[in-house]
Amino acid sequence: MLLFFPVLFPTQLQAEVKRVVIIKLDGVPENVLERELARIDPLTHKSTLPWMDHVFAQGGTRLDNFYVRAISLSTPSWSLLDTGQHLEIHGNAEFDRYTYHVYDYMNFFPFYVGYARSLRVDMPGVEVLDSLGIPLLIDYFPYAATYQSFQIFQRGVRWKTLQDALPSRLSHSLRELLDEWTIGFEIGSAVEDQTERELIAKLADPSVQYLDYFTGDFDHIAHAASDAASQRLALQRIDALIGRVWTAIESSALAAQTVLIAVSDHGMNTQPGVYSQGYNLLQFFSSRAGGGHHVVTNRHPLDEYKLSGLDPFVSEVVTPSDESLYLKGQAGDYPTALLDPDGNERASVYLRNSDFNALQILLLQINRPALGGTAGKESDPAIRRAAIAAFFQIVDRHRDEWSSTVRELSDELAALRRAMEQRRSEIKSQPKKWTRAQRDAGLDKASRRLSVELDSWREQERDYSAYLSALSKLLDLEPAEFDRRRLTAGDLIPKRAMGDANSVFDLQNYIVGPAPSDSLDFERINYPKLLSGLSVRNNVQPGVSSRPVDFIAMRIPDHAIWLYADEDHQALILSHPGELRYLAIRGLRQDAAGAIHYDVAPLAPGFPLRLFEDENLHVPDTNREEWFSAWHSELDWLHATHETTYSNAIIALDEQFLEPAAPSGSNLLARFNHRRRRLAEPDFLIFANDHWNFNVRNFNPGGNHGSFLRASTHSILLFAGGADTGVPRHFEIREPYDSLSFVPTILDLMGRHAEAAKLPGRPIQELLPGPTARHSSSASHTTCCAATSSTQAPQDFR
Amino acid sequence: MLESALVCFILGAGILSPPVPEYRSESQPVAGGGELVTVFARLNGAAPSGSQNLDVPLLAVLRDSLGDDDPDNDRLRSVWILTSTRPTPWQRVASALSFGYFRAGSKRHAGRVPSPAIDLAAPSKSVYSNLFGDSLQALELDPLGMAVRSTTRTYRTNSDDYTKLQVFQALVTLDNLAPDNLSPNNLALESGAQSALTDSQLREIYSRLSLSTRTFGGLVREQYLSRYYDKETSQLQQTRGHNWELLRQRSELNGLYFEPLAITSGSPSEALLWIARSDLDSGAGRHFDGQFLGIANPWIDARLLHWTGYSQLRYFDSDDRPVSKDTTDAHPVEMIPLALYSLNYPRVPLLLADFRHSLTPKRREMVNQGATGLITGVLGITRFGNPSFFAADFLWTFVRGRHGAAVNRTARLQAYSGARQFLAMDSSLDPALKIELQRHLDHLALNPRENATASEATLAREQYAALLQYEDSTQGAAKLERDRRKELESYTRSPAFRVFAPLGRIFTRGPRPDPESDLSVRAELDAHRRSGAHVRFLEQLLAASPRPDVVWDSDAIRKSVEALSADANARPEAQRLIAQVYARTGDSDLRSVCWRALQAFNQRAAMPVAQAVSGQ
Repeated sequence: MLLFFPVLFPTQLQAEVKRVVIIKLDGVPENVLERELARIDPLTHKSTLPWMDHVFAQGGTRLDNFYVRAISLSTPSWSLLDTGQHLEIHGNAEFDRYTYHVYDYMNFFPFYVGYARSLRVDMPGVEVLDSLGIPLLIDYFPYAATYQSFQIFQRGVRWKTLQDALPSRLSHSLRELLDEWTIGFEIGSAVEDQTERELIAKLADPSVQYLDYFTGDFDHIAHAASDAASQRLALQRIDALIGRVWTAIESSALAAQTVLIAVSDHGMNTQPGVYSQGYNLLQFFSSRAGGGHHVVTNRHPLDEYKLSGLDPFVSEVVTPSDESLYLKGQAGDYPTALLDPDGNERASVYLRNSDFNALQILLLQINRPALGGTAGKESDPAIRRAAIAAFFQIVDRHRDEWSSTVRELSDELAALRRAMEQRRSEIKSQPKKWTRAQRDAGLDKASRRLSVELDSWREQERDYSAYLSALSKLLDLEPAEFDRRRLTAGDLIPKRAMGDANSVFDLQNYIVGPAPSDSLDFERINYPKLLSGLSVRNNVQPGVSSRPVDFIAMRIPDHAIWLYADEDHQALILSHPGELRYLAIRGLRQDAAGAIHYDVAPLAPGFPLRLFEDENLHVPDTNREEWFSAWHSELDWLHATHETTYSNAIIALDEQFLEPAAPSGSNLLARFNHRRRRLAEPDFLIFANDHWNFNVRNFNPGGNHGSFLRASTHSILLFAGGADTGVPRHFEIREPYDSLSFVPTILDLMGRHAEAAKLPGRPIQELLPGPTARHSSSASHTTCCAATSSTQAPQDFR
Repeated sequence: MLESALVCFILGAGILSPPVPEYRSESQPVAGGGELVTVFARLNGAAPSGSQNLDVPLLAVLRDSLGDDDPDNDRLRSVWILTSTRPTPWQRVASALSFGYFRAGSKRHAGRVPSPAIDLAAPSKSVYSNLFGDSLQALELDPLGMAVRSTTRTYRTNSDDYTKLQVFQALVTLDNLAPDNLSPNNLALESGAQSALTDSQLREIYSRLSLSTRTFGGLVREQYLSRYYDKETSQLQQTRGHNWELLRQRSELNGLYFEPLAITSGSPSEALLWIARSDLDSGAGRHFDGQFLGIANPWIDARLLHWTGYSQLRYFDSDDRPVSKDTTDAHPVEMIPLALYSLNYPRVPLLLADFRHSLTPKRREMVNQGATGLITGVLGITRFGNPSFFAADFLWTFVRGRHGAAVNRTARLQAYSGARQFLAMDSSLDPALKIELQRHLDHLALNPRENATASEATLAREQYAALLQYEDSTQGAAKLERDRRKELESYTRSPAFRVFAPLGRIFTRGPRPDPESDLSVRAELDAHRRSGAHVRFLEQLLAASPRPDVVWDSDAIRKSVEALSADANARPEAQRLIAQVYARTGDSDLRSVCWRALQAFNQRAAMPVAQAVSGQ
């Protein structure tokens, strides 16, 4: 049918988009938007969201099925929406396993202060993407032709916006100020209001091609309150904003060639009358039963009740455990768990390499006093010798791997040092002062970016070198040294480092302390089993399970993702180029040698993602078992599953755990950056059950996101355009798309097909003026999806 | 067979008859062309049996409808909180006693017409009288020495607290009457029976009452009321959710049981904490983190091991969900109540009743109030008179508040007030537990002016009867007529005239009753009110959206434009508003209507059309 579009709608062929205005909405879920759009206000006889109805529902195009491609979390999701490239940032906070560096993507304060002190130029997420050579959508436009609001992937700071915000907020009559003060002065909205004023002013400038406006208002409210009235109010504020922006667009010189887009990064699992319940994983991991870990988070737990919670610069907080079996009082040097529960329906868990724990426990055994113990056994030289042997057994087991790490990382650090030298001379050649024209072109920021990156390289060189040095020491150690001098953990175990990622075997046999008996054995925990078995006693909401954990997900060798619900309900998501497969299994385990064993289970209800029993699973064949037994393309999976409870989880999990291809060996700097990304990956993700969350910073009873539940992944994407843009009016697209489609669609709309073609995402064909030159498979996509979804014909076009 | 038929009939009637709502509103015409809108609550507390006695009038509003059925020219006047009474002589005396934290008896009967809580037509009045009172206190009474200062301050504080307590109870009533908070059954009833208060009237009353507890609240202009209402109600929902979750997590952490409590139509506003007797046997020495709970460690409390107070046998399934006794895997657990909390206090649940230490909440409240009384009343140190004290007090309060202490006295009062009303309205709790809770809550009645909850229903009914009688009398009608004349003067007379006119009326003894004149006043008021309503509507519309026809039904806009153009007395402001609608609308029909309206104005030479359009 799409092939006939040019014939039926010739105006589309002459479509011309010169400007794009993007309203970025944090966490607006499709179902809430639909609910409010459909609600007619009895007083006004219009939709509760009259402007969104007018601009997008009546005058534009809506995507009914637009999904987050990875976990439904702001930073990863915006990174996909802002770049159109596969996922490189996997959480709102990430930790480097070797250096303990915290990638705190959502902390604006250090960025502003760093920017003011000329130490920073971009938000942390942008720095990471820059290091990987991934451009943002805004980078496709000349600096002077853009207007960017304050957001997670922000380049630079416009001080003028901040400077003007407060005076503008206070520039009211005394009477108005008194009224505002009495009902509760809202200083927080001052920056948003000022941004809106600036954006509207910029619309008058025809040279500006890209503008965006970010608001987190709805997300904030929906986390706090699940009642429809509160959420409606937040949406109505957005609706009014869209009205003002659209009116300004309509009166601008480029009205006919401007496209207005509203997009949200994820949905929100919120339901009126239901409170989202929190389970405190921090307490769990620091408890005796959870392993007695000293746990690191990027914010203070319950920070609203602490004076230290007022510190806006905090990115790293250690919560010591009183129940640690061997590290009491050493929380500062040896934290053993890093936790990022942000977004809250999932938590990323980084545990210290289990063998580092074993080495440290053995060192305690080795260093027990030879004399003066309370029992003779403590000074038994035989046990000491056995402990030393066990110590070296572990080191030898890792010797190849660690040696390789030392060798490769040393090469990469050498390359980094060379790059630093080169960068120093480059910086020297930069002008010291900038003209107005140069600043308007963003050259001052580009120059500062060089210095900031150099500073970052210095830090990396120092930190990784320290880790390498500790690892080398361990490799060079010989048994006789234990006899020559007393070697402590401080001499041998890298401080504030997690070491290499844990394997499935490690996590099923994770060492948390010495065994209670006198042997050299250890106390171990099977984390997948323990976590999935957690339950609570206060179950006062009928629809909410007593078990907070839904399943655990981690990558295992051979391009597979392991999903663990319980011992009998597990699954593998297998991938090979272009295709995915879901395999129900049970009893997966890894032996000490690394071999993975499992039994394939017959499909039945209760396996992770609950696809088999989902009545909204659209598979062309009536025999579900047969369908599941085969490999399917990503698009087939999307069509089949997007309306199920877990929506596009299969694809999203694949994206989340996707292993990017390692760069070629010759480019050491690229290899180094690739390694750093890999080091920021957690051991595993814990996903919360419906209406559960893992927030430890505060309480989020209103709703949460982060999981693959459809309420959390189902986002909004709305388009409206001027007369020449060809954006269909009163048009609903039912074909499912995901975040990767966003950037290529915009580039295609703007006629930048070559750039769009380089991106992996599927452009939204229904929006584009005729079949684009690329993606010749689009017709087959349409044929394919005809079985499961329909595309309504547009009623009219501008 | 007859018996079984009768059982079927009774059961059927129970199922088929509409459920009785906890809150409902009712309108009754009164003399002079007004209506008394009353909000009733169905009392489920210690009310006597007999369904006719269960409905208690809590709040009444006089709506001046000018004697017609058209809501466009209605205006809300006085609001009465019917549980609020004038103090008895002993209550007055006791109110002035410093550190007298006790209830000075309770009024049994109140046959007089109650004083209005607020005059919605002149909400700013109370601001000036309060400011005058504060000034008098600071400048004249405080310097007279410790005895006068302490007595007068205590009296004023008690009086103020009592007023607030009543206002907060009224807010709970209105909150439960709001459409968003009605249960599906009640909503059906309300919409089916056409609620006596419109949404905008409900918002106005709620906001004005709530703002009356703030120093300059009465000065807030009408256009801010809806926003204020939205903020307040949304904030309340957030607070309740936050505290619900905080308390649930603390219960979980400490091995306790959490039970949220809600009036069926609303979100949980209170919560109980319980401990299982069987856990006490096995949990000795268990870790207890009392932060935010404010109760002693139950795991080392010997009294709980030999508890003889109230307890309840409950049944749980294998998932620890409360179930009925007959459920297959149900197991019994004997539960001992530990504490009652309000979920309405900002940031932390507020402890209202401690079953093991009944006086703990009272002692905390007395210490808090006593410290203020000592410093301000006895020592004469006030925050505004002593900058060092102000700074220290601010710092101390901030730090304690940050750590979760309940430092806001007004919010504590509001939480207590909500709990009182909850207990009166709740029908879900075991009566014996309810009596126990009431007994504990009564410890927090520290204000000598406060009446016993048990007698408030009688007082409200009696005051309501007196009010009805008054409003239906010639005095009530005359008062309404006087208010109308004042209102008319606000439209037609200069401010100076309005200041001096009352002096003149002293000598002329005011206007004589004149039915013809009254009718003409009503006709004039009708025109002014309608005109004012249309102007306000267009103002709000234009302020809310750059294109009025997008956000509001064009017919309603057209109606306002036409009404204003037909109004010979419409002010130039109306013409400017119509010109703005003309310039901004995308609806061609509406533009035509506006254009014709502007031409009509032009003919009346108010302002040339071109000037109006260009100058908008």
